[in-house]
Amino acid sequence: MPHSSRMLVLATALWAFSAEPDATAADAQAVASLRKEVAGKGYLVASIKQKRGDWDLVLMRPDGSKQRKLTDTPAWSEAAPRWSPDSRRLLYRRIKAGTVISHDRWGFQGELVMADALARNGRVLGKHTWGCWSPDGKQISTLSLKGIEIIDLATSKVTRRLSRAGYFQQLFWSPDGKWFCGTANVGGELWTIVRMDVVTGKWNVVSRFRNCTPDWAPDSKQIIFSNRPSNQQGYGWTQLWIAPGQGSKRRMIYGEENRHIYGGGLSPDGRYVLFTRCPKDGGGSERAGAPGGLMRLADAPIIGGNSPALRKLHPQAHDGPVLKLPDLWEPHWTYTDVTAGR
Amino acid sequence: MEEADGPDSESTTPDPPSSHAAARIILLGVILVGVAAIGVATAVRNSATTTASADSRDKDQKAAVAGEVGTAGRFEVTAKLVELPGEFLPNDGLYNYAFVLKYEVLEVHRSEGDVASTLYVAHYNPRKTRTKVADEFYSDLGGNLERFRAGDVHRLALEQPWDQHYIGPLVDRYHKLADKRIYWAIWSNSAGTGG
Repeated sequence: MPHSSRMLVLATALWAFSAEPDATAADAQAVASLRKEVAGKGYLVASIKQKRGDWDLVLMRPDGSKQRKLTDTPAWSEAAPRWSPDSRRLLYRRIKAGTVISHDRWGFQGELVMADALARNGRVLGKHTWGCWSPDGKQISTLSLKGIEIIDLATSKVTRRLSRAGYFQQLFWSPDGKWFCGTANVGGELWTIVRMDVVTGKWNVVSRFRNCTPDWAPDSKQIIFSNRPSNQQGYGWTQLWIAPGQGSKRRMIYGEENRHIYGGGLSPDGRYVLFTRCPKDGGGSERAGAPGGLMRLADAPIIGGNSPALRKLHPQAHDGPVLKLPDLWEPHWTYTDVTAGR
Repeated sequence: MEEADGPDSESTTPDPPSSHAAARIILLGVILVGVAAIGVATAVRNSATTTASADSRDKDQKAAVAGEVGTAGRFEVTAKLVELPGEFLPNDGLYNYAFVLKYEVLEVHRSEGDVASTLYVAHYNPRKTRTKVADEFYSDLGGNLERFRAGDVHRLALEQPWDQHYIGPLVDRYHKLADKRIYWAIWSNSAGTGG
């Protein structure tokens, strides 16, 4: 090998080592242990970008193995899948192929489709922006200029309408049915995570300043969301955080310099966390997705990469383990064997 | 001595013109006058046509420039941008937002109901020129305004209330002002620069 090539290889290796922390045998063992722990715990569904340009829904084990396409539609992108609370059906958005999917406005794009758990027999329900399952799976909530609407799936009729109280995107109904969470304008501060009482419409702030993509913990008491804190130099990096619904102290789950963390979601028992690690801001929907990650919530906070500035801010943070998943977008998890008998 | 028949060769008086020559000269004059008249008439007519055409073009241009400012929304005002309350957020296509700006109303052209003398107007993605502001989500926006500069005068087609027309992040640096009305800018044209 010529000297210049050797130097190039050496430089590349040094760069790689500086970008990622040293992967020790113990680290590898910890990841392997995590992989073994979650591999049999049901299934993930996520949107994965195809080489031909559209996005399809892909089923996989939580460790990323046994991937299986649920949709294969070159003319359409299937996005943001969510199983019903009983995991018998799937809601997702169908967006014309070629449309750039907005990482924070995807709920306004395309149409809402309801299908069986494996995305078969899909029925287009309509625009139904930000359509989201009710806890019993008999209704959906939507968010639009008209406000928050609750629609009965059997009759397709709006059964209730509430003021949207500043919500402008990413409205999700809590598993216990008592709350909504979403991203809102509050007191001049945009991208604020807000919780709203479904019955009274009263709301409270969960996290202020540069937050988005909130989602509920299965206990309906905590909300997981992305946040780009102001205590960083320059533009900063988006991190994954969690906070109680009543909005007291929030805490970081995962952060990594040179990566924007989005797609936060918890496993059905709340023990594990899914997310994506995007080198560019936006979560990857505007491009080809982003590498997925899976960690235990009990291991939080975890800091990936070298991330010296972030480690100074969170000296107690762990290095891992984080199980790497394929490039994907908006993963969702069920512990139900959705393939059983199908 | 009797003079001989023939011209007096030494006569000092010019010979009078013959009748044919006079006719030719008169005809030539008439032709020249006619040509000149036709020329003038043509020029005048062309000038008139050009003026009318220019007027028409000008009207078309003005209409194109005005765009939908006279028809969009229920409100149309000419107003002076009072100030820029801080910098606009970065707008690289990834994040989209509306930014509230304060105006002093100079003239109300159309309205449904009263329009206060001070207006608060939410402009979508204010870093973009208005010709490029429309997108997949807000396709009806436009105007010829290139940039927002304090003191400039804008002619605006507006709607109200803003949150029945826009659902997205709103940067409102006047949020502490209670009971203010925020209008949603649909069409924004330049109507003069500040002094």
